Order: sequence, then structure tokens, then C-alpha cells
Amino acid sequence: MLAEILKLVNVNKSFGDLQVLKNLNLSVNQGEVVSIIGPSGAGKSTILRCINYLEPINSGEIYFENQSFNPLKSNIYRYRENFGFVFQSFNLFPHLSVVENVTLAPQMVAKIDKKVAQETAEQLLDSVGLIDKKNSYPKELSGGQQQRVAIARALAMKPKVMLLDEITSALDPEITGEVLKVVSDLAKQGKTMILVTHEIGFAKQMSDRVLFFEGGCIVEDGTPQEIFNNPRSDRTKKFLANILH
Amino acid sequence: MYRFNIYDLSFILRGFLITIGVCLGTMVISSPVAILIGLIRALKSKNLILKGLQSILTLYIKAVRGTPLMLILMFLFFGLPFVGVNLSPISSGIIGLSVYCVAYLAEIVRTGVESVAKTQWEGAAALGFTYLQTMRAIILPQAIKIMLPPSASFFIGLIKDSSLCSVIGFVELARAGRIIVEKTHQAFFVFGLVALLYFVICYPLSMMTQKMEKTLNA
Repeated sequence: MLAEILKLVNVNKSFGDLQVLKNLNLSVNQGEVVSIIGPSGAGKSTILRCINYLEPINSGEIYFENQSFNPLKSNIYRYRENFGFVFQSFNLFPHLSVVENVTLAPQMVAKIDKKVAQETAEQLLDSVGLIDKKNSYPKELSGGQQQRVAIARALAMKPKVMLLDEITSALDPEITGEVLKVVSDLAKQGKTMILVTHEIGFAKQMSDRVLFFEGGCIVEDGTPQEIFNNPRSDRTKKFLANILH
Repeated sequence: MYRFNIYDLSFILRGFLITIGVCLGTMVISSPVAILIGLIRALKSKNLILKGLQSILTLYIKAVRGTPLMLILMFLFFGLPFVGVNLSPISSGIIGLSVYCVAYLAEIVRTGVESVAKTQWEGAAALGFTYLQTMRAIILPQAIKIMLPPSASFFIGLIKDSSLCSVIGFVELARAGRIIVEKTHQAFFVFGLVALLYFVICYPLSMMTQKMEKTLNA
């Protein structure tokens, strides 16, 4: 039996009058790769942003490694170190070189020795195939390369869970593959990951579990085979029919 | 006819040095204050004390921006003695210019900080950076690039505006020129020289601004 690493219990989140998450319950096990699919504007990204508290939740509980997280009592910055977040728009720091982007947080936030941080950064950049770009600046890189740097930057903090928010949506289809390869390497290494994605083929092939999310709720939760081959809900069927043509 | 002589020249050069001194003094005093005010105004918080402070600072900036600099200078020098505060011309000048400068520079600082993309804050937050760490390592280095060119232009304006200090009776470059013109009646030559001296201070600054804009946009 795998250990549960993350659990959301009755989580509610609203933006003004718009309720984006409605009594959301979700449990993720160590080493699991969970893909969240669903129509745009459904609040898929909000789930990820609430998990690492980029967005405060309105009510409910978030448990990480069986400990309830309370932003008033616990240190929110330490809590966030458990998660590596990769954004759709990369959000690299444009004034820093590639390697500095990767070493900044380990040095400044985790207080890791400069030399160690440098070595880790080089290993990570090597693993995403960008060691030869370590002294370049973000604007000199293609979107796919920038996103791979962003993944290396997130991994440098040794997060326990990776949260990937539509990481290929801003990339042209031809270079999507290079980013997805990095993600599937991580999956093979047993990294716990939650990803919001529109890459259905990728979700199908990589995930242990797929969630279909709409209207603030998880409509369907199952293995890729269950969701893609035998969807139970009509809404899931319709969504898949539309995107798979 | 009276001839322009070496004493007149040294009188004008003395004004030149005073103008430089007053402007430098103003920059040194107003820059840190403006940075502080700009950063406070850029803070997003629901804290009532902070919000109150921000409203006061906003009011100050609006008041200064709606008042002619000459009036600020005259108020300090001629007005304050009525409430028992006597300032020398030079301190009224430096204080008046600083009060004026801070209001504008603080706005340059605030807009500079606010023009760094919000996603930079998020990128940093997701990595566990605190507010101060984010500000120091990520936001300010980018904001400074945005703030430098308008600040330099503003300082060029300041050097020329410092000539308004002549209304409160201290002899900076413009006033020195007028005094020598009254003495020598050689307005063309003397004012030409004064203009040249202003140019000598402003030109390097404007070259610097241009260069900065080029390298920063590269």
C-alpha cells in the first residue's frame, strides 16, 4: 500500500461570486502521477494553485504527509518548498542566467552552500539537456528550452510533489515533445506529480490516474483506461468526443 | 565701458559650483526617501496602519505635484519665519527641491516596481521566497532598469529647475549670471556662458540616459 502524500478535504475556493472549487476532495499517493483534464475555465489550475497556497482557500483542509496545513500557524514559505510548481508561462527570472535561475532559490531560500547548489544545478540542467545553455539568458532560449529550465529550477528545491500547470500550452506542437520527455523521465523516477494538461495522449500514456474536472467538481476519477476507454459520465464522454474528434 | 574680467568669471563659476552642490545635496537626500516612499506605496496589504500611511503619502505626492516649485521655495523661505522657523536660503533651496523631487521620484520607484510582471512574484512565491527575498533578488533588479532612465531625465530637469532658487536670494548659477549682466551689461556673452555651463552639467547626464536606454533595451 502506497503512502498518502497529499489530501484535500472539502476544499472550497471562490473568486468573488464565482465558486471555482466546490467541496473538492482529492487524495494523492506517493509516486502517483495524476492528470487533471477538463474544459477551460473549469478551475483546473486553481486546484494546483490552492495546493501550494499560491491561492488561499476559503474553507476545507489540506493535508500534506498527514499533517493539516494551516497558513496561520505554519510557515507558508517552508510549506511551499514541498512543491515544485511549473507555470504555463515559465516565469523564469529574465535578469538571471539559466544556471542562476536554478541556483537562486536553493541558495537564498534553502540556504544551501553555493558550490553544492551549483553542482546540483548542473546535474539538473544536464538531465533536461540544457547544460550547454547554462550561461545563456532566458530570452535567448526557445519556449521549450525555457520550460525545461523552469522544470530544473523547480526540481532544484528537491520538492516532494511536482505541480505542472499546462506546461506545454504556450509551446508550439513541434517542441512540446522535448518538454514532455522531461516529464515522463520524472515519472519513471517515481516523482509524485499532479498535472493539468490538454495533452490527452500524454495524459493517457503517463498517468496512473486521470481526473475529469468540471464545474468545480471532480466528475470522474479513474485509471487512464477507465476514463478514456470507458468513461462513465455523459459529460466526460462528450468532452472526450469533442477533443478527440 | 566695463569689461568682463576674471573676477566676474570666478563669481559665475562660484554660482556654477553652488548649483552643482545644491543639486547633489538634493539627490543624496531625496533618493533614499523617494525609494522608501515608493516601496511603501507599492506594498499590497490590507493592514489599516499601512493603508493610512499610504493615503498620507499619496496626499503628499498629489499636493506637491499640484504646486509650482517656485511657490514651495518661497513658502519655505518667506513663509516659515512666520511660524518661527528660519531657514537659510541654501537650506530652503535644498529642502524645497528635495520635497519636490521626492514626490516625483517616489512615483518613478512605485511604477517601476509595479511594472515588473506579477508572474515574477508568483514564480518566486512558488519556490518559497519571502516578500523581502523576492523584492531584493527578483523584483528590484528588474525594476531598477525600468526606473533609471526616467530618474536620470528627472535629475536633468532638476538641475535646470534649481535656477528657481534665485527667487529666495541665493546666488546659484542663474542668479550669478544676472548679477554679472547687471554689472557688465554684456547680456549676450554672460547668459551665453551661463547656458553653456548648464549644458556642461546636463549633457553628460543625458548621454548617460541615452546609453542606459540602449543597453537596457538590448
